[in-house]
Amino acid sequence: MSTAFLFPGQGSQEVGMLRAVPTQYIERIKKITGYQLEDLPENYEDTVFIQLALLVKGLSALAAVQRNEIRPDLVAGHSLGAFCAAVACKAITFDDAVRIVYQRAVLMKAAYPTGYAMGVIVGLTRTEVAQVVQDTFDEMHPVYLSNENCPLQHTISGEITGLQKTLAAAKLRQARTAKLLKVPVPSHCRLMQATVAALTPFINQITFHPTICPYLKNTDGRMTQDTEVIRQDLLENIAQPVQWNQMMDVAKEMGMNLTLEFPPGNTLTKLIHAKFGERSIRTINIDQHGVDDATFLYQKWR
Amino acid sequence: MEKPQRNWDTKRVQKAQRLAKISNLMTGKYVETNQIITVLEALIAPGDKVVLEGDNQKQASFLSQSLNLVNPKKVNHLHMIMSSISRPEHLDIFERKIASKIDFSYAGAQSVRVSQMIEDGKMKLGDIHTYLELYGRLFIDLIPNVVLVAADKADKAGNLYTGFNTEETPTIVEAAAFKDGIVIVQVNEVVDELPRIDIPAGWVDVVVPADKPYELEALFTRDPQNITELQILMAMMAIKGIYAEHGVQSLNHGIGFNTAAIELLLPTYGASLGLKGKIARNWVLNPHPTIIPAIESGWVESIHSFGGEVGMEKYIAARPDIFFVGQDGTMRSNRVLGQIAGQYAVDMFIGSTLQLDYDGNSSTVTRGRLSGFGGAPNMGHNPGGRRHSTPAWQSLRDQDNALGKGQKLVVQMVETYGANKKPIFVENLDALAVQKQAGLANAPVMIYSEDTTHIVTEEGIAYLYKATSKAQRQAAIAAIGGVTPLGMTSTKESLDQLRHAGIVKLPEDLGIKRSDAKRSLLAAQTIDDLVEWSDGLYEPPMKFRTWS
Repeated sequence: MSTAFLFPGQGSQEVGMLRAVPTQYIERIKKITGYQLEDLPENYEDTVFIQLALLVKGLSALAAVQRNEIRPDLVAGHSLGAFCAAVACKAITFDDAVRIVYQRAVLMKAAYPTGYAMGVIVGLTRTEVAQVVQDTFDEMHPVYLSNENCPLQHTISGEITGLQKTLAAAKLRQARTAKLLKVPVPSHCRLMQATVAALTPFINQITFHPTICPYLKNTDGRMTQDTEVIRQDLLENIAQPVQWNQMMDVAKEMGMNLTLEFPPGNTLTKLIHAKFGERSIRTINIDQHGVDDATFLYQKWR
Repeated sequence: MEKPQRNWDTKRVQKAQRLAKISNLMTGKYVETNQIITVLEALIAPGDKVVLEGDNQKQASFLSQSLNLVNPKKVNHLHMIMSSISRPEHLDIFERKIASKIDFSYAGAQSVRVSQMIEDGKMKLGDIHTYLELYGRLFIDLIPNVVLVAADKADKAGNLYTGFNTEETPTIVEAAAFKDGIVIVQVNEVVDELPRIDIPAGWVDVVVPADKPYELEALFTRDPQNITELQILMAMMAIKGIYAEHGVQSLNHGIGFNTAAIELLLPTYGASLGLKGKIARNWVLNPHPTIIPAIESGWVESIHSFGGEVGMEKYIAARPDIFFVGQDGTMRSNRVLGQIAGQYAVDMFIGSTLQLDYDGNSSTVTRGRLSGFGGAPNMGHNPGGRRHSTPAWQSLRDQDNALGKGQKLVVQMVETYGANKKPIFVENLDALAVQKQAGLANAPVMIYSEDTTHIVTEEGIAYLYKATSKAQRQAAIAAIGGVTPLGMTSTKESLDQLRHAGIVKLPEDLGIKRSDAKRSLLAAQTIDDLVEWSDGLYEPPMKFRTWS
């Protein structure tokens, strides 16, 4: 038996999701960063708000789960979720995660304040999406192939009119779905390379600690407990595709047969079902079940 | 000429020295379960060639977990030889730097990590072998220093019973026992008297009772409920257009639902064609539960098996006329002899794949997954030097060549669109990219085009052995390619020509109505039906039961 903690990234946020977060976490964020998280619809256009809100949503649930003696054998987070995963395996502290994410989000927003985003294409293989991206590429409106979520679900990142053109072309090539995501920055492609450089000195000051379990890397799907490798992964994942598909393959090969998806949403649980079917891995979704029922299911299945 | 002086028994001396280190821990050949890590650290030296028994069914799981716990300062740089990389710790020993090199055959259950670790240089690849190459090399240049294997039972003297799941254990043990290697066996149970002796105590050095029984998986059980009508149509075509057409008597089936459908159609559709006794009599086959109705209705004369199958034990024991069963009443399997029979002694191999290129080369290695292969590359090829006189073999003979000989039938059975709704037919196999990524000498092709004699899809059968040119071969594959990009290149004119030449047959050419392919044709439609056919002797594992 092997339990994986899974943390979602940008795109999973929903207006109102901070209502259930205890106020001490919101205050803690304010104290560390000076940023006041306010759950207002207009804030959901701002990557700084979205990233801090997702972080606090995931980490407050993590604390509740930890109080119930639930321990991971593996942790994996998608993009921003990787910071929650790093906290879950104890590589970094809550406060340091907040510091890095705030810095990361501010730099990302400054680099692309408007006009850039991400899209998702479902129903085409990676090779097919790469072809669409290549065929529709326009230097004035650059678009790059980014995350691999499962064999038939990939994201693209870039300038918004370029994205629309590529998504339309994907539809013509029989993609089941091709649409923009709720991500107001072009993450996980080379457009973020300067941001990585800017974040480097900051992340290098952070103290990393020995992990309690393996961490799955966004950038190449490898499993590691090496804290320097985790530091690099957290730094570089903004400018590289998230290899979620490969991460889940490795988790399965490591014996993962129970997953806990942390809030918000159920994107990662759906990806598990799409990839492995609904029977081979038991999934617990904290947003759906709540921490107490999730704990009950965990104890029953574990 | 002066003969140089040398010792001729260095390996024997070394073995004695290593065993002497643990003499205080041994009672006869036995060591305590909780001493195993100390024992492994004493008996295995850095750089040793070590066989760790793991095939796709039986796993020496106690020994693999224990090997992962040894101190890497004492035991390191091992060269592992494993027919199947199946468990997480098989790779963790490379992460922990206990082992550094690998020779293997199959890695289906760990194929992504295998790709990563080879690419990252954490695992140095000797080679990916066919089963028989790997077993053969244990006696040539991969002679093991230590082997770690699993048995069901041992007696006080250290004789072993491996029973239904004998598989390759005797072969691995033999390679070490007669070349001064050390044989370490984990056993599920120690008994006063064994049902029979599969491996004599004289070949064994150390026996350790395992903390729990070795890992064993039911890999060859296919629930008839999941067989589709498309697969039934293909099975009907195969029976009529290949089995009956060529008079196939001896054969191996792959493990997919396509071939399970054939097994379940023999007693119904096959019987309606009057084929009973004329085809599919002698098998080399794992004990597929879906073969039960064909056995019970008198189609099957004999089955030799590579391994066992969980739940089939009582049924097999009660059918010694069919299976290979010892005097004690339990089956003996043997993977090595089964592979040799499948390669060299049967009329036909029929199986499935994940990708076929436009020439008919096939592979189950897909992007980022270095899975290797099971028995398919052995059984799915025509041994060049073989001469054989069965009707099926001779039916493929080139009549214009005085020295012409027949050929083994190698059949690929695929739906034109695979599980992910993508075409099976690809311009370039993913195997080529994987070859580059892992730096392999050969692209990991499972079955080569030149060995593939037939391809069956839901559209029809391509009799590739009849094609006279590469272009015609491709056209024949395109003609049964359905609405895939390859299939769309086929014209009506080309199809007519190929049908006229007998190179392609559609269901109507075989007198098969597509609408006749119904699930009601299956001799058993559920696992429950199989149990009933077996007179209650088949005991399906929990996960296949629909009742409790």
